[in-house]
Amino acid sequence: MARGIVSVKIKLPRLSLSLKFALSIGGVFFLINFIFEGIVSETSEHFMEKEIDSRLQTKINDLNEVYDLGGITLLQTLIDRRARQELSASKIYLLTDKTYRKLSGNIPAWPEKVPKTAGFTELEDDHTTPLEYRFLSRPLGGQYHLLLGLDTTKEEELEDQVFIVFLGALLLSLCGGTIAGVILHRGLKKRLSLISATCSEIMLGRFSKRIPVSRTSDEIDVMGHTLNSMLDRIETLMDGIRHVTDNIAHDLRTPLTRLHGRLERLVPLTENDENRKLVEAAIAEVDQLLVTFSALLSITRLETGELETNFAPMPLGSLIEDAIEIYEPLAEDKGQNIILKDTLSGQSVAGQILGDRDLITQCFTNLIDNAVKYGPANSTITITLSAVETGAEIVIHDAGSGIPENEQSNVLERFYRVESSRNLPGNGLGLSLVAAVLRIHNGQLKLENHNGFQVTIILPSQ
Amino acid sequence: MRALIIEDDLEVADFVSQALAESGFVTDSVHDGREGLYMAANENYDIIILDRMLPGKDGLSLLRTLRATEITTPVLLLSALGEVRHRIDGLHSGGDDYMVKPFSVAELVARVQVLLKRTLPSGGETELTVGDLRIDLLSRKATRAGKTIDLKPKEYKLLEFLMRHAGQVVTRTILLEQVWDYNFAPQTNVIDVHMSRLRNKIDKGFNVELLHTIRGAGYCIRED
Repeated sequence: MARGIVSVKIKLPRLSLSLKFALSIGGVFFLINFIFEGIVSETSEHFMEKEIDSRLQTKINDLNEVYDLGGITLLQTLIDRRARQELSASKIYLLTDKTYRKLSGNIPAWPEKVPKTAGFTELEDDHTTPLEYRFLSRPLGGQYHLLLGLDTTKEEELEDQVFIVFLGALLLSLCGGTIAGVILHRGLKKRLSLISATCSEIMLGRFSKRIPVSRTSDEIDVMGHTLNSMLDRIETLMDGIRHVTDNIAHDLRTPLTRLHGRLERLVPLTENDENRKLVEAAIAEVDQLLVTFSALLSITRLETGELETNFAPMPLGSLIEDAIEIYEPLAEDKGQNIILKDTLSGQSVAGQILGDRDLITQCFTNLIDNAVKYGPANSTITITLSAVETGAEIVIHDAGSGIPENEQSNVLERFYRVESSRNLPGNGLGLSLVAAVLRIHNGQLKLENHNGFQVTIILPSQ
Repeated sequence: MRALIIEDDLEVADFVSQALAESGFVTDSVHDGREGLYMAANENYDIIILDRMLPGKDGLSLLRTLRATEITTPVLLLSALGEVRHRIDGLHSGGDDYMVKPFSVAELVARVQVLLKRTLPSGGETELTVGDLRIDLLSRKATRAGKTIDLKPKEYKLLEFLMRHAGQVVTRTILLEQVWDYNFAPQTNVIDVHMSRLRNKIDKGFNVELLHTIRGAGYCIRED
């Protein structure tokens, strides 16, 4: 079902390029800052820990030396004195016997959380005291244990502060990067929209338009120059096609007029009824040739943007009603019923659909013609007219066998006819004309096999 | 009735002239613009058939000159240029109708008849009759031999147009333009179906057929 979708319109980007650009710049800033700050914070933390450890090590070595020289009594005296001096509890001294009972020091007992082995221990804030310590314990001569502790609250606070500063820097870089991205991209976007707008105009057939190029010669200007050279080439090709179609128009029409005239003159001169029928059939053939020829010429002129159109607000509801009205007897003869469901008329968008009345009417009659021709006898053809986000939607549904999905995009090409319908009258230009007309209206065309065959047209509002 | 044909293609001019002669016109043919202007200005014609592209003087500027000198003879333009804009240009320059080549001669004659009828002043009539068929232009009702005929709005419009041109051949293209306001031919010949509906409504059950199909040309409503 989806394969038959032939969109003539360019879709708008869902996430604007500008936003993506800004966010990615912000993101990159953020990532770099994050990594950098991670490294700095790890290094500083490590450095501070080493610093504390070496202070503890020096002190414990000093005390060890005191013990070696003066024995336990001297050490005990020294620790008592130090403990008395240490009122702020920023340093902890504890000397115990070998069963870890206190001999002297400024804490009552060996802290529970400090293992009774030699080495460093970090004691985090455990809510009983707001302080944080790093301890070093060491056995003295197999008889005693010495425990030293240093308050690390200040170091931790410093680390916290560094973390907050880094966090701020991180957020700042994200915002700064995003703002820088927005500003940078705004200029870029302006230039890209200009290119986009020019391309849209060209697609509507104004092949002489060119992309404005500034004198800075940056990448966008280079692209503009390249696109303009491409457009020069397309314009030359289009001129060629236009020239050829003009020649066809002028060189074939006069001889065809003569042929028609001669055949018409032959009719009254032909006595024999059978011969006259032959001549009349020949006239009908020339007429059919002419219809095909005119349709082909119209499509080419629409595609080369040469056909001058007369865009005005269109009363879509009444155009469709008229087209249905003209086909109604034909449908009735086949036992078909054409139903119009119009929820568009009366809505404000109804007055905002601009288009060329003749061309749009021709689209409608071509599509209704197909629905009557390919829909089965005694079936219903439903035409729905409604407002959608982008404008007006016209859906024409018949109960026919539809177009095989692999042929759906081909039917928009000139002279292409679906295998199963080659025996029915038609020139294979009906849908090509519809597609060409919709292209110059910036509309969309969708073909689907959907309980029959369904053609959806969207005409944009202005 | 006198007709002037200004057309540089001799064969086209010849068969247009012949077809108009068969319909009762006295025709003059000229093959370049200057001569055409001279004839149009000095003789009294009822209709001028003018090719848009001519040697000597371009068809459109000839037409503008004619209109500037207040010669109001109806002009039917012929052209190989079929775009809407060309048509509009032609009509803006003072043309009364526009035909694109290749055209059928029967179509041309029918259009000339319609044009001549259009230029006659309408007498403010309130009803039209063909035989015992009658339409009331005010109440938009149709009757045949006193019996009311039930018509849809477009059918009424179609019948009114045919009756205004009673006795003239009206082509399918003319009907599409005048009744439906369509400047193109739909892919299938829908007009014939409409005409057979209309014929069913006005002729069925009556001895005299009023709506006639003219082979290779179109339709005509007349009494005989």
